[in-house]
Amino acid sequence: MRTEGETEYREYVTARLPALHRTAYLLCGDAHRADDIVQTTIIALYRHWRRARAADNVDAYVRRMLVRKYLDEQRGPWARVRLMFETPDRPTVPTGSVEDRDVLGRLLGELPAAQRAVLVLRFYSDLSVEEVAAALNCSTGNVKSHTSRGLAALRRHLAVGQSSAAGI
Amino acid sequence: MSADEEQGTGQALRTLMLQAEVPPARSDVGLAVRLGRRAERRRRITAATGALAVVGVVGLIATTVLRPADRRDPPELAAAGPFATSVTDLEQIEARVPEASSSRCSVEPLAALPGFDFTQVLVGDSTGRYIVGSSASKADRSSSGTRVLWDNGVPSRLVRDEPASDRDLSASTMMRDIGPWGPSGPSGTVGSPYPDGQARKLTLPPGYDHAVASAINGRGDVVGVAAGQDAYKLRVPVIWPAGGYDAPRVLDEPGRYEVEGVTADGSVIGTLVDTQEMRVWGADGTTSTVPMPDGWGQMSLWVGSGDWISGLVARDHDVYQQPSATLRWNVRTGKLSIFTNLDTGGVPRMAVNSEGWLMVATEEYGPLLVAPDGAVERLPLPAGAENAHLVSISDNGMVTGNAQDSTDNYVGGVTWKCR
Repeated sequence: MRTEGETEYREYVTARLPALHRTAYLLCGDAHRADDIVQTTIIALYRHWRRARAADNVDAYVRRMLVRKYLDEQRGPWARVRLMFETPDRPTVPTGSVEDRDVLGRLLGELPAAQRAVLVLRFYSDLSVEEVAAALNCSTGNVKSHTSRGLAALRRHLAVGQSSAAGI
Repeated sequence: MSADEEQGTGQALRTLMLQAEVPPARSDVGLAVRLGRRAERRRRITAATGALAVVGVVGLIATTVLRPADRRDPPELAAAGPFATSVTDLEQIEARVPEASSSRCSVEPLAALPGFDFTQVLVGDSTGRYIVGSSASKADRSSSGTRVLWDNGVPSRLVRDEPASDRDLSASTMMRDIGPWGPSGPSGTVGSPYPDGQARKLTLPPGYDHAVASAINGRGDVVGVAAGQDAYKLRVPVIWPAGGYDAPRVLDEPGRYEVEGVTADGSVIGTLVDTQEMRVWGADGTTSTVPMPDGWGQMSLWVGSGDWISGLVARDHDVYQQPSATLRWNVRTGKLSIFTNLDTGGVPRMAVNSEGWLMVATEEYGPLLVAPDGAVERLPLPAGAENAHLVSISDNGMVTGNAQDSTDNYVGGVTWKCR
């Protein structure tokens, strides 16, 4: 990559890093894995920067890379790569109030990877059904059904949490 | 659920997502640039030597067909000597990596199940006979797959029930179901990948409520750690001996242990995280502790086999901020080889077989095979691949892994055989 392109790349990634990290964290629910997903994504982005900067929407292009890294990691033996020097945390069961800062991670952690990705892209990244379908390389019908099923699964916990938080 | 209910739940979810506390990012732009440059350099080298590699591969596929991989029985247990309690011989080597892939080695894609298009390797056994992974069709590649057992390269469904959902197909869940390499749930369920794919249960030691099984040897001893509520601080190394999965033995007092491997005679190899010491719990009941070699600040051991263990070291704690080096350790003799220029980017992408052959997937050179004498061979890549995630190396030298394209996505499971 030429110096000019590398400077652009650095500026872009530096500016977008917090958003990419937040998206990755919401997707996987683990800070270290989120770091790994983002790091892998931005390394790949370096190699494809010319193509990325020529895209109509650079953010959408990079977001697509990030989500695919996440989904690949879910499917692949990378899941076997443990967090360095530590035993993986145990999965936890959602309980208690929405005021618990971990509750979101617990709720999302209950969902299949693809469903979770759809919900994060739709309700955090604020993408349309069509945009999510393009990011995940699937049909709009698939996105709708994942959205519907994911929300139905969450609804009961969210409602219970809200009632509990309100002291009901 | 009605449209209104869906909208309300979506809004509540969005609020939670926007308000969620997110730990600070540790990703590093400088590191990405450094590794990106390396990858570009590697791609240029690969392109320059591509023609030569293709000639080599074509010639050797024919050789492989004529000379199928010889089957070997598991090696007899040698009379085991005492374990080393220090690094008796430390060699730090800058490996000489050839520019072209080896003409002695061939790469072949794993056969997909009939009606399927893609394959993915999860683990290979030490004999080179069995590989476990998954197969998927183009239609369901993004969300599902079918578990597959390859027996001498011939695929069959590992579980003959309905294909699992994508959640069920996460690697850790598959490992829990089919092999004792992944996190286990409260029931401690692990299984044997052969011959029938039936899961076996590991009983938890009294007083502990979950376990992580990390390795198995040829006769079926399973090792790992068990923990209670405070898993972060305290866990115990455990062996579930072959034939006695309901009678686990706790090997040491609680501490921050990682268990990395088990030798052929049932001796267990682990790391004490706080002190970065390697500890060997011998099959004879003895315990040896080996300190980390001078000059290195962090060590992570990974796949071991026989008397060998592989892993990586780094100069300081944050392995992602600096080059790491690949290590191969003979726990019996105490000889430690550190290949200073075989950098995996701080990720444990290496394995060693019982004869000391080391495989490692490097950032700069791609997949490599390192002989016991330190000679390095570059493994060829299939068409369309730029690197590979290596998974295992069997005792007859067969390497299994997943080829990756230029964006690091998997393009399929492959095996390498070298003459």
